[in-house]
Amino acid sequence: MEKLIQKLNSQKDFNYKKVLHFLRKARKSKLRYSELIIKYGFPLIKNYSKKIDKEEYFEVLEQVYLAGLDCNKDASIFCIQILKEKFSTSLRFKILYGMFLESKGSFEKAKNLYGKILEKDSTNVLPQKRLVTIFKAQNDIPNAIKKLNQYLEVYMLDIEAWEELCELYLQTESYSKARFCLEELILLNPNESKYYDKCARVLYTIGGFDGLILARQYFSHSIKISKIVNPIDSYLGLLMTTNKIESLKKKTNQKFLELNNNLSKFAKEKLIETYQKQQENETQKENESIKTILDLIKDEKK
Amino acid sequence: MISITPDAYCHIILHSRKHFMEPVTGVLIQNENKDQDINNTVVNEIIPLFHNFSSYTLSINYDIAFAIINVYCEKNGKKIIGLYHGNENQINNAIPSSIESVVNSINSVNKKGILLLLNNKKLENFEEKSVFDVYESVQLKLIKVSSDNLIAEENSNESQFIVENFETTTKKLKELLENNRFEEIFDFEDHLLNPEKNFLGGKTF
Repeated sequence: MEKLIQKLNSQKDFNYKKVLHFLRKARKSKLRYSELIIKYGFPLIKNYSKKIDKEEYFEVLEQVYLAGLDCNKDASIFCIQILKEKFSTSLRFKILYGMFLESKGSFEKAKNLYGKILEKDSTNVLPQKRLVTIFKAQNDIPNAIKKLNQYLEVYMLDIEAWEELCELYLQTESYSKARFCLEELILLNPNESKYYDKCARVLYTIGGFDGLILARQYFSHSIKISKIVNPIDSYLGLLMTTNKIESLKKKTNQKFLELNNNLSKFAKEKLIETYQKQQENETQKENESIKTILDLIKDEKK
Repeated sequence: MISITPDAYCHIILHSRKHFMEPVTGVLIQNENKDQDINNTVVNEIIPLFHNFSSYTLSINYDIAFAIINVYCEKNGKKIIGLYHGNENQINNAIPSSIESVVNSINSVNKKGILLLLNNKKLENFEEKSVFDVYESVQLKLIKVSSDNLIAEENSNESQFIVENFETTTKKLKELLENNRFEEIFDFEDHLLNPEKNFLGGKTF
């Protein structure tokens, strides 16, 4: 994606095919490239609408509209007007319009609109999620948590909702509840390393000897199943956790201490290997972060 | 009196601009100088740390980042004097308790603990006055040292927080924002994903 963005940024003339390709990729990746989508998508729908396939045109319109809500009011107004002409009675349009109301700060109007949609279709997931977002925007975190819990009682397989609930619990520093959410996420998606990594971080924050031991296990497993070749953050997490366990100097058996030392050694070696490889690159010789982290790890190794 | 250099001031705002949808957190750094007046604190540099939603709430993230930053400070004759933080929500100007306890810990170790809390409302008028609410750690509590109506002016007797060369700094900042220079800002979390992204060493604009 980065290469694609670089290509787009370096193009001299507006190439609508490349822009369409970028927008497709952005939709597929579900990443939020609001500013870029506005930069390239808004001129596309204004000047090249006839060149876009009709079905895709409305998808692009919705995409630019949503990006406009983030960073360009004019774009969102332009898009919502076209969408209104075509789909004014559809539920999907109403939700999009509700988001427009949210962006203007008309939270009560948006809540009413979502309420009406839910009266007609109580199983519609989106307005329920939007209600959570409104509570968040109003900085009413307890109600956002309550709403999300109600939602998860019905839709307990919704990974996105568990992630959101975890973030909300962390914001309120309810670490044990955040841990519960992460364990649910691990059950739903046992091959995703980031949940193990995050759970380890939460356990470390909760603290206590047993918590640290668990954190160490989670970091180790996260590294084991990570799709990233060198997950630096998990290596650093593992190193920090093993150091903390060692600093507690709890009386345990020799085998346990050996395991702790071995894991610490493993994390250090992996970090040194990764950073030294980076330093071999001529452009990275003066990278202060690489130099400092290498100093830190090598110093610890002594 | 607490003051901040133009480069450090711009660096914080560019970090928050880059991640305008997320909370941002970073470290405030002062150059160590033996002749320094202990009543005058200068934020010479900042180190951007986090932009993911819950990163600032987890103690391990600080433990790792501070272990690295301490090595950097020792090497370069600098010290950590506090944090800056901006909440995700525009109407939320409360200090998260995790941030408060980190600033208090910095104070107990380095005898100085400052928090520059980015006031999202003030950001809209960044050309008129400083965008921060400034707090100082005193006996494990954060006390506000600048009020909302304080205009950040150099040599003002009233101000307890000063942005050096405020007018020229804001002009510069406006230019940096218009030219999307925030894209050059990388924090510790960016570095963890791609070690080529350097988050240490300050920035000169």
